[in-house]
Amino acid sequence: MLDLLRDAAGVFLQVKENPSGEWTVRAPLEKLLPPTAQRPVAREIHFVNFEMPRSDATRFIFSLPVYWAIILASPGAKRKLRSLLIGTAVMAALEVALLLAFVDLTAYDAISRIQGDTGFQWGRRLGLYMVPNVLPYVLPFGVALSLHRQLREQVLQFAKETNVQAFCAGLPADRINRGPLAKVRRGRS
Amino acid sequence: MARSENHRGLRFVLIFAGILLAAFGVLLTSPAQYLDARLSLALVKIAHGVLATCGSHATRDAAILRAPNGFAVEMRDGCNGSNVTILLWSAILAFPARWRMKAIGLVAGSLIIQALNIVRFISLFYLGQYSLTWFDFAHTYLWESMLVLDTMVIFWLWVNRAVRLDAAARAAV
Repeated sequence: MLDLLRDAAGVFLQVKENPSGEWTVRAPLEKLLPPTAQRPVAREIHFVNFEMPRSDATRFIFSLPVYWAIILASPGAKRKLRSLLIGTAVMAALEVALLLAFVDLTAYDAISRIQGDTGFQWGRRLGLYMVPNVLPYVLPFGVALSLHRQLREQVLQFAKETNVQAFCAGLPADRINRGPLAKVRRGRS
Repeated sequence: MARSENHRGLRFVLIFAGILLAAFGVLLTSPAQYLDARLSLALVKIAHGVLATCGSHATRDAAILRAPNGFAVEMRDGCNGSNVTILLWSAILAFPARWRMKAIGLVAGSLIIQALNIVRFISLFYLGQYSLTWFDFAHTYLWESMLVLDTMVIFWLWVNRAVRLDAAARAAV
């Protein structure tokens, strides 16, 4: 899966695997660094090279197995197959997108540091934290809830409550609060 | 009916994403980082206390737990369950429920997550002494996904209870 991710990312940028298993990433970035007191000549940047440990790269292939586990454990065979197929494609695309976003943010952050640019520093830190540390763990659940209606209804229960509300709409209060309807509203049947 | 469900679903997703981003933004500020480090320290103290009660000879140095054979494990930023706690808080705060139920969910959910995190930390401490390969796998993948899954289950149980109590309260009016 790591090889597939590397090949998919290779469509957009240059990724090489070292014998040690680490990745060398060349991120394209067109930037003109203006002259400064320390560096009197302007510098043109076309790309940024950086090393990416294998353990960092594997964070981006972790979402797919988690997604499969959630869907396979969810109810409904027919919907399960549909969610599994569509979700696999969506998750695979998201994994590549996350890796590309991480590479872009890292390259942009490196250039900003060279420039001494402190603008949007908080945003850069937030992005560099969220993309590898939070989103790979959250996205499988988000995609599963988005694609699998039954799972969404079980977890969020919007439909369940809406159904009871719609059923009760227009009925007199004494009919809703007594007998079987009250039980339905309490979620007992 | 479906439109109302979609509207509520979309509202939930937007509020959830907003709170999540804001909370992680706050987590990266210096005061929050200080509190985060204090939380890690407290959790390691508790883990060390549990191990000592069970007869272990592990020693503690700040947020580092050390085994007699020299193996040591440190609870660092991101290992103290603050990420999943933020996830749970965002989901609970975004869900339409009574504020009292939300407060109960925030407190009880956080305590459950931290209890699980202590179990995680102790298990990693022993797993690391047995095999570093298994430690890496459990640390990076297994426990991370388990904690997010646990968070989802806690949220699911809380929603069940919140919806049921809300319906009962409205039916009683």
